[in-house]
Amino acid sequence: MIDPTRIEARACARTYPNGTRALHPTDLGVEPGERLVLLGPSGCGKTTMLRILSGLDRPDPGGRVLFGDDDVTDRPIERRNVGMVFQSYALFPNMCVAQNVAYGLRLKGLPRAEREARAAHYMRLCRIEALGARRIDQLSGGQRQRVALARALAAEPRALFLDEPLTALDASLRETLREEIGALLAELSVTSVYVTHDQVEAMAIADRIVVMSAGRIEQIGTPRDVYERPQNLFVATFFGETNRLPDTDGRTHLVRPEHMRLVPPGEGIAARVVATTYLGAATRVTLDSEAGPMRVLDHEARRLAPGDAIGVRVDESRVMTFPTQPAPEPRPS
Amino acid sequence: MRTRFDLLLILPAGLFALAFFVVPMARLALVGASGPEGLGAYFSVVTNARHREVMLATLALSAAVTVATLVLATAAALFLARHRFPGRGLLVAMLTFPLAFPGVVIGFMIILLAGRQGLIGQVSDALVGDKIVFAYSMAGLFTGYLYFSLPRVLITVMSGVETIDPAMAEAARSLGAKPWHVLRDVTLPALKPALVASGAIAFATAMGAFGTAFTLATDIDVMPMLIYTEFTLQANFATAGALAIVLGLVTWAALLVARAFGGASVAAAG
Repeated sequence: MIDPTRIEARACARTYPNGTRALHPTDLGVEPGERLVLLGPSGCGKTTMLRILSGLDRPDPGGRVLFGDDDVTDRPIERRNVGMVFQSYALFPNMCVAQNVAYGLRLKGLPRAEREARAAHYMRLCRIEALGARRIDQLSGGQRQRVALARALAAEPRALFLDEPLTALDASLRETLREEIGALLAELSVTSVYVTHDQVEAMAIADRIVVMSAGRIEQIGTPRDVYERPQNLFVATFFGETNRLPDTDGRTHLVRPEHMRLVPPGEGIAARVVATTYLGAATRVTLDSEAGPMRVLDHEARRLAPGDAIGVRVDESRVMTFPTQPAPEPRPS
Repeated sequence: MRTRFDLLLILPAGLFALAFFVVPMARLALVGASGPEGLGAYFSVVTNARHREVMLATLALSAAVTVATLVLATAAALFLARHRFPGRGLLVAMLTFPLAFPGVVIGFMIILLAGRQGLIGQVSDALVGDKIVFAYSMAGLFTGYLYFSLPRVLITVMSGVETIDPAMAEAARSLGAKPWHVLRDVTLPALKPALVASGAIAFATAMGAFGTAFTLATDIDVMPMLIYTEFTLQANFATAGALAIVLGLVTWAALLVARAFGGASVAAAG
């Protein structure tokens, strides 16, 4: 069975030959069996970190990667016993589904019977047991990613690395699969590092989220921590929606749309309706207020039309305050 | 309407094929059967011992050239597609330069290299006192055809390598694949269509090439030389015509087999 391993990066950096720093020296620990999500905009260094941890790339001299007590820095990926899942699926088109799933076991020299039994087990877990004889070009995108996941898990890796695995899929499929993947990783308690730029996906999968930008870690915490207690302006604005209130004394004040409510005209901050989007459970109201443009979630089924005058009241206890630019120096932890 | 328009599209090529391919081929086929042996001329590669030997030698030479070209070009293409270094452009240009040469020039270069006054002969004479000369033989022809085929295959395989998703090799490596496993299980299967297509061109070229053989010597026993001798020197039009048709059919059949083999696996590979 899968043996959960602690993964650790110590002072890992990566500099391109042209001198660009893709990743500044960074420490990061992944607990045994943990689902850690690396989240950030493109170019933030999340994929670089994933490739260093998995062994596809080497850190700059001085950086170390540890699997448990093993220093694996000098070991290429083929000698680390890890699993990889890619955005492009990267399945072998010259092999059928079952052969793809059993490929790692074949390289390990497992006897045929054991190989087939283990491949069948992981195909069942990934709900592709009926597809064993199919060719890869006969599969849908969602099925392909299930095969890729089964292939990575069947080798019973010490850690699983997933690089934007759902980005190529359409929205509804993405939602189903991210819940299934999250549940499966938890059930198998395999140490996993998951890269995505999608905040909702990160919240659905993660035990802890690592928010990154410009080659540095901005914050590490549970989804609740990161959303409710962002440590700096970048995290607050990148992770979830915020409205900006007027700055005071060199400080920026942000508030989430759900911590504001609409009140009759004349009360609160004076505003005018610009647009409304009916979401079913709530209505998203875009406003032009005397404090600037704002977005508010309204749960009271008001019928508002563009141009209507309205008031906005802010829940003062939920206002998040940060020093105004420059953003605080990110603290790698 | 669409059908009529599509017919118009094929008309120029159809007329061209009729005038310059179908009609001369039919005439050639008739000439082939006009000799004293009649239709028997078409079976001379089976009945005539010399014709049989020449056909087998030509097939062996072409097969050897194809295999050697594919091996060398694939190795070079894999290196060139994965590495960027100063002078790479120049190296690719040099490797693909022979594309512009006619067979005669290739033959001339082989003589400069391995002929009686050639570089290899001079060096071996100076070193071991023995002049190594192989330009005027099958070995010379093999070298010439290799030189000639390498650029075409190299270009096709290089563009083939560039279309392979690098994540496939990385996925294989994550599962424990050593470089040799990646080559066997990922790279070569993905390159199969490119290898079959460019190998077919290398094979067909070697089967029919004449200029290089003619430059090297008139007594190298390959089919194009045999046809030339029968036609020009012996004025044996019927035999020459029949041999030409048979050479075409044999080459076509060999390519058909290769395509069926490659095509089936390509379909399986998706």
